[in-house]
Amino acid sequence: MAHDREILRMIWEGQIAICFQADPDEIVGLQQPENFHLMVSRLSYLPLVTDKVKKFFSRFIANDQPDGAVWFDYNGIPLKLHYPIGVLHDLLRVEDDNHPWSLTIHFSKFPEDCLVKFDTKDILESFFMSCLKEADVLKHRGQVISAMQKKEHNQLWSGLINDKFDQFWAVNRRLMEPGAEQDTFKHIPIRFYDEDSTYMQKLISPLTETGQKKILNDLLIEISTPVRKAVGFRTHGIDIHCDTQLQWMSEHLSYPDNFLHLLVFYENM
Amino acid sequence: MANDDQEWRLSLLQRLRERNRREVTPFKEIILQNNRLLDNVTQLKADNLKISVENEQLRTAFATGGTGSGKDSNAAQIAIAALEKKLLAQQEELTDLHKRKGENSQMIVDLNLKVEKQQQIIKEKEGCLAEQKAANNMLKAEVQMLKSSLEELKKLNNTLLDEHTALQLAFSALEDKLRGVQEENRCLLERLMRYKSKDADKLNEENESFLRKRSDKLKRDLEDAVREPNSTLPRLTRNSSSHSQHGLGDGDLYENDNDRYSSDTGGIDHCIEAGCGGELDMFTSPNSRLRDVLCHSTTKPENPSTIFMKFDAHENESHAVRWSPIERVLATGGADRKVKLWDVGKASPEPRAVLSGSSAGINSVDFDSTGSYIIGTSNDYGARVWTVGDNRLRNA
Repeated sequence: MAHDREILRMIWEGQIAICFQADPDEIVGLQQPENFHLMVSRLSYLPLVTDKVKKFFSRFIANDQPDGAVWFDYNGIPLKLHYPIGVLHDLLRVEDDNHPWSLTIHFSKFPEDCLVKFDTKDILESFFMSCLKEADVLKHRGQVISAMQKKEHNQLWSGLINDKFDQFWAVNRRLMEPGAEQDTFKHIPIRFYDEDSTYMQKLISPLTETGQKKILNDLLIEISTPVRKAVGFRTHGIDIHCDTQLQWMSEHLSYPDNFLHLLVFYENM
Repeated sequence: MANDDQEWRLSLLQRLRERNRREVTPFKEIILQNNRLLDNVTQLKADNLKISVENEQLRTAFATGGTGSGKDSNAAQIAIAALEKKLLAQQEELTDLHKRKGENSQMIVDLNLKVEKQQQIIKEKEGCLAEQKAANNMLKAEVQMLKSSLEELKKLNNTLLDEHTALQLAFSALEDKLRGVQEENRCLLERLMRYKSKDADKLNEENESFLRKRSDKLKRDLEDAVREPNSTLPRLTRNSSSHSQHGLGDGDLYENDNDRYSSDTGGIDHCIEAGCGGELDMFTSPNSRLRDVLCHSTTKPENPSTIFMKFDAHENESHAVRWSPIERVLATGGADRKVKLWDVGKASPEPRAVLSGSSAGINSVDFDSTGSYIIGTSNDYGARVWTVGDNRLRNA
């Protein structure tokens, strides 16, 4: 059960400063738009927080594009719109200076081959709910989420998009309960991200063979291959201590979709 | 295990805080401000645009007002006229307001004056009040003093009352003492009187013994004289014995039922005359000197010893007394300037007449041989004669 409210709070309130720039090719008219700065939550998704940005820049752009064709890129890399912003930041941000993260907003030429289009918010909501269900199946065989009512699912989504910690966690707390027969989840919902933005999902158990609670060291060993050795994890912008309990991590450091998104540092042997 | 928990948790917390410090705090405020400013700018730009558009419209309307088509210019002129009317109305209102403003300021000045006057009055009243308070305080002080003096007087009064009662007690004590002393005095006086009476008795006894001796001697002489009847009878004077002498001149008369005695010796103050009938004698009692008494023994040869009658003849002293030669009448003269005639036939003397006319005390009275005239001598250097029958003064 997610007791540690302080940690939960700090995770929830994590924010990133982003500086949006307009695509120079798309600017119409003589006026150069200024850069638009915004503080966005790490746990949220790009299409949810960028309404104002779109509105700001749309004045300078030839407005004949449909709304859903907005996409962002960083240093030429198009950003996946269904990843949480914190994950994107940890994965892609190269320089570590004191500037906001510079992204470029595009209104046209949507790269259909790289990205999935999220025209409306409902699509993103469905994706979010499917992630939740997947996580719950891994944790509790899907019993908890299927026992919830539709309005509770809606409460989760609205808590996320409106930044309401208490509203979200009132329902999410039940998803973080350990299983009936054991003190932990059945499996830990976790995604291991590589440096090239692909991820790997493995079936991870919270307990070792001996029945003890697994810590990150064990996990490092588990996902290391003879070719590559895993040496450290990063999530939410911080490196995690290797003695952290996995069960605890899953309860407290998960993103709102109940997955742990860990960036793994590898060393080639 | 618990310590390890805490360790990685603490390190986690610390790293989270560092991340926040690095990523959040530098940008948050600034980005917010920036966004606000951007909003303001867009808003202002929009307003600006609107206003410039309106401005352009007005300008074009104005510019085309004079040279444009009649309808347009009429409309413009009508608008202008309306505007001018509005302007006039506004100006009138303005002048009205100015006037009112002037009136209001005038009112303000008046009210200020009134307020000042009222304040003046208030000050005066306060002065009066202060005076009254001072007077009140003084009166209270006086009252206090009077009360204290009253207290003192009451105390004095109390002490006086106490003294009074003490004095009364002393007085009563002294009265008692006085009474006691008076009692003593009375007792002493009684004793004195007793002693004096005893003395008087003794003297009387001595007198009587002396008198007896004398009477014996007289008897012997008389016997001798009887044997020789040529010797003259001296007139005797006798005076009363000294008992019941007051020295105050009561004027008592004593009568004795013994023999009459008469003697005539020199140097005797009062004459005593033997009463007619030869049985009664009388004594005057102004002084207590003893007299030689000679016995006249026409009848029984005894000394008078008992008083037959006693009465007050005069208010003051009785100086003279005489028997009438013809009847049983007594004439007495005293210091009250009167000669009184008494009828002593019965047991008590009856006053028969009062003969006045003398201007000083009567010293001596006498009847003539017929008993019809009385002569009285007094201290006023004169002698008077009255008739007995009609009690009138005959000669002075």
